[in-house]
Amino acid sequence: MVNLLPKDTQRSLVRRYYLRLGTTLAIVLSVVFFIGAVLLIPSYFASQASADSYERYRDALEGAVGLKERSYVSDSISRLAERVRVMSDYGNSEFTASLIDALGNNLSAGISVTDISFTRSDDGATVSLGGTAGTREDLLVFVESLKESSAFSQVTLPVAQLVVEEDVSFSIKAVFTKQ
Amino acid sequence: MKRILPTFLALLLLAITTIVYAFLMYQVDGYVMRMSVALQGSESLTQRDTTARSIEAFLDDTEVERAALDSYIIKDDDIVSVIELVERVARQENVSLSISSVSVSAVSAWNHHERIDIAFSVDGTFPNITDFVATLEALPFAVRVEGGSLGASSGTSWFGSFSATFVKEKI
Repeated sequence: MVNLLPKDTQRSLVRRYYLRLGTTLAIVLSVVFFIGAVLLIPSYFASQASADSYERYRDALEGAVGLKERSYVSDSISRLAERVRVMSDYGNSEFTASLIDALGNNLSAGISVTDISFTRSDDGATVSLGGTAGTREDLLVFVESLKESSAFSQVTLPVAQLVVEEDVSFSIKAVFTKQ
Repeated sequence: MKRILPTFLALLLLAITTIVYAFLMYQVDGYVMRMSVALQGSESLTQRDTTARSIEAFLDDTEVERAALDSYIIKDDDIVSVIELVERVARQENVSLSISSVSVSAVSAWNHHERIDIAFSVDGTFPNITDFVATLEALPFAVRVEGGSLGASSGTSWFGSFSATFVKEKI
């Protein structure tokens, strides 16, 4: 179909068409956003009230539960744990008596112990024994007895002390472990 | 101008409604975030409180046992009475006691306790000295004989020097 309108009028009509289309779209979108905003208003107030309420609850809980007053609880627990640890370290009582008993049990005839010294370690003690043995055989029997004892380990006797046959002065080192 | 006025007004209206909508969305999102943070805080507080309550109950339930445990630890103002007790044990076991030093030292692994180091020497018969040391170790305290040396001095007499440690509470 032939358009008989002049070109200027045609362009003016197209421009008006697009202007009206744009205006309509803008109005429709405005209505959509307006409805959306109106529908958001209850959520806005509800979420504001909920947030305030949750924050007040948290603040009240922080004050009311007395967490600050209960801070001594962690201190008490750490003190108790350390005390139990200390007591387990110090619980091995009668250690020296056991050491003397173990030595006495292994003493053989002809042995006279005149010096005993010990230094405790975590699970035992390093022991030094000094004294005299009637004969070399007596000393060897005593050393053998210590070596066979489950209470003593790493029993060492300097070989040089076995040179003398009678009235042998000795110095023995050993590690004692309480049974 | 007259032709574009409705379009201009429509665009202005669109801009205003968009801004209002975006503002409301942003605010709601902020409130939801605040709500979530407060809720997490409340849950954490409730959990901490529950834990604290259960520990409190544990401490209450074990009060007798803890008191018994505490009795093994020397109180800060009881050091002198402990020294007197050691002297009394020496008299009871018929050994001559000489305390050469008493000092308090810190132990790196301990935060609530300190160590009392006592060095002493004893004179007496071998059985009396060993009985004395055994009684010392059996005292109702956390006590350890750390080391010592015993030597025959003359006849049946022996001389010993020892070091022992007690545990005291830290102030």
